[in-house]
Amino acid sequence: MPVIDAHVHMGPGLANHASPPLLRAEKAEEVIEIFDRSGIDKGCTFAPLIEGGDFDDYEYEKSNRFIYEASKSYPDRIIGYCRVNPNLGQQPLDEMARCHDEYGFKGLKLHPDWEYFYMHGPTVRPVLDRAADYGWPVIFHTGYYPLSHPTLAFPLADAYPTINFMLAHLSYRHTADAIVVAQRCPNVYLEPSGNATATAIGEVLRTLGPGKLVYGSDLPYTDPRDVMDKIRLQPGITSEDIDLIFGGTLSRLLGMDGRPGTRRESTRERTAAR
Amino acid sequence: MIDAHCHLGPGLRAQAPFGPLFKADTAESLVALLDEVDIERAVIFAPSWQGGWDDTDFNDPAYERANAAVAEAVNAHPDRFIGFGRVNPKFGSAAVAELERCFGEYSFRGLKLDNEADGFYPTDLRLLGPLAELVRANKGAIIVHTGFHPCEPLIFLPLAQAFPDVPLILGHMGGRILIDAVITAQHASNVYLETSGQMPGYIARAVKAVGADRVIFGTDIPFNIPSVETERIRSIGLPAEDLAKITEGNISKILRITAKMPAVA
Amino acid sequence: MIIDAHSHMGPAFDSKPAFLPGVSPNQIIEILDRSGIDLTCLFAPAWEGPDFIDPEYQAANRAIYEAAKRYPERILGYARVDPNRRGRAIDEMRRGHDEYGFRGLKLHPLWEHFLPNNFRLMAPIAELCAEYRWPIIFHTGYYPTCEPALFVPLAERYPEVSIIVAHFGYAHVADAIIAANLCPNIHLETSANTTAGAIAQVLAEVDPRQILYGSDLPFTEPADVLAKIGRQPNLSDQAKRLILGENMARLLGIEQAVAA
Repeated sequence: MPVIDAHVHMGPGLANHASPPLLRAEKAEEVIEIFDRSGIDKGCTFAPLIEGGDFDDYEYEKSNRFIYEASKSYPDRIIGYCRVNPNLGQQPLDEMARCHDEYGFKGLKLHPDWEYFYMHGPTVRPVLDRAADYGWPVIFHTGYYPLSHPTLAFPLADAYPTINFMLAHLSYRHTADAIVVAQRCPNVYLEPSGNATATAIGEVLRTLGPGKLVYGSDLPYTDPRDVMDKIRLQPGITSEDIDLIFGGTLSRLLGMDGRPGTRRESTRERTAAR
Repeated sequence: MIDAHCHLGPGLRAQAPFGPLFKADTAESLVALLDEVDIERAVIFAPSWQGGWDDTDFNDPAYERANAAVAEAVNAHPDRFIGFGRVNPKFGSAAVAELERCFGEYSFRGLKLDNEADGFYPTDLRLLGPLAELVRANKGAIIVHTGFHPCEPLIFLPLAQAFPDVPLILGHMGGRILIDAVITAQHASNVYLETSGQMPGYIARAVKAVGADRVIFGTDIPFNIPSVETERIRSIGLPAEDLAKITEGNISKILRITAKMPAVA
Repeated sequence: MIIDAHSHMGPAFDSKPAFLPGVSPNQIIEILDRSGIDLTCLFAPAWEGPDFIDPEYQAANRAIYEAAKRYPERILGYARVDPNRRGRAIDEMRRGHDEYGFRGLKLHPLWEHFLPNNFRLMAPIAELCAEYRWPIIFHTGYYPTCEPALFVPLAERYPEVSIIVAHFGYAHVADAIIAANLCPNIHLETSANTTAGAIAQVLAEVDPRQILYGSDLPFTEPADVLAKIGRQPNLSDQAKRLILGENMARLLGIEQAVAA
């Protein structure tokens, strides 16, 4: 079972960060090297947030293009995800169309805190309508009020039953809330990247089972092995649980789980066909 | 390696949800966990009192039973454990008396406080002042739980400034609001940042911001996985000298741990 | 008829004063009179030590009982307990019901440190509240124990128990609205630092039957909260009546008495 990381950042936007991330991931080669030494086969890869400075890309167009180039170079390793700012009207929809039609991306990353929108707010709706059309899973940065609190996923999960949502970071310390949401919404999954504690991960496994937890690291802001170990070394975890968490569930959400009629390597095939 | 943040005691059985990952509610089981990752010595204190777990009521809001259990563990393994007392400052003179017992009868070396669990205002020096005086008189240290509201690191700055000669260790270095912990440490030279549960990138950032002399290794066992915590501190590329300060030197200096460790069986 | 869903009084204020004088029953009545409040739901404030030690709220509940006995037409007593005390909390609730004639329960998950969705602690309490027909008013706000989402499992499991989310979850108003829309037995209460804007947002998105006026007296001046509600531009007279008193009367089962 290939290990898939649900939360990988890459691109030139990282160079502008006021505090440099733990690892370097401005180039595809650097990300592949981290994958290799961490035992990651594939990563859902998207732009980092734009902090301003010399790399001006508030529309994420250059960043998405960069992800596309990387996915062409490493079609077996890089699963391209689109990132947009939903507040920019038609632009994010056009950018999503480009990411879908030209780039062959497989999912969408949204960050309510950074782009400043409520997770369930009006500007997100057209973007999610489009994601539903494309069959994309959507990964949200989640954490604190007022914008990215996990409760706000309730109305979205109801309104978009065909979209599978991943709530990143186990919603920081709001894991208890994220569990309440995931328990009630079949299309909500939790992702433990960054500083999710081993205890919080243990509580998710205890209350929701392994099928609701999707491994993601938030590379390069943290070391993927740190997140992996917090899962793999959970007392009582089985190899079946580990397979599900580290790629089994995500490959199903991405439609690449090899079920009859489903393409196993659709990104590569699409790229090759063009 | 010395671990500045470990929990032990009957209260562990009562914690749920988000309870302990490992069964380490006896001294022996905790020693076994520490042995696995070559932690030679650990600062231990009671977990948060959280009512009853099963059908039995566990009523210990003032931490008397919890502290006695810690004392028992320290007596059984004096070469491995350093006891810290835990009190709920709201109990006023009873809390002071309990801390006196902790230093006098139990020979503990410090105080653990957690306002997120015990519901008090850390800025209320009516509550914390007499406790901090006792810590100072016994040349001990204070470790506090920190994170977001209501235990954001900055809320402990008045305490740190009122007792500049009492080392104040910010457990978890503020978690996701590391910046708050760094600002606090920059305004009080007696403040130290403790690493348990923190992301490797944030630990590296903390060391850069406040220096290796002000960062202290801790695990928060049994709420974290021991090997993840020990691996993390080794994996962030610190110079050997800094790593030694963080994992052993700083806490040894604060608590005046000078005796050579007896060999671990 | 104006009913205040959230007010405090008790000996804990002797060692830590609130913002308004409110230690004694007649001080409470003075505040009610000058604010035009007919009836208030009164319960203990948090015990904060170091001089007043009352972790089981026994002295505090007793003081509420005495105040309610003295002013039965103005004060409805609520019990306050620490759920971590398990059996002792239940005993104190029983005393509150049988001896003190209390009408509801106040719980503070942050101060007493428990998760409201931890049924090991909450099930016996909620079951007793269902039996007594007591509403439960919760302090709500931030993690780790007070976010509005954490009250959803409780409200779902005990649909017959009225759950009052005080303070609109502080800044978690959006979450409080979602919780109220998920659970008809969740009620949002306006006390303390809720802004006029937050009240407007709740009015726009929540059934007015699920909104309650409360002040958090004596931590705030009730007139201030009443003005934030009364001056809302889009508030019908009917909704206003519901919010200021009729809803609370319904939750307490005293509609008839109030109408008479």
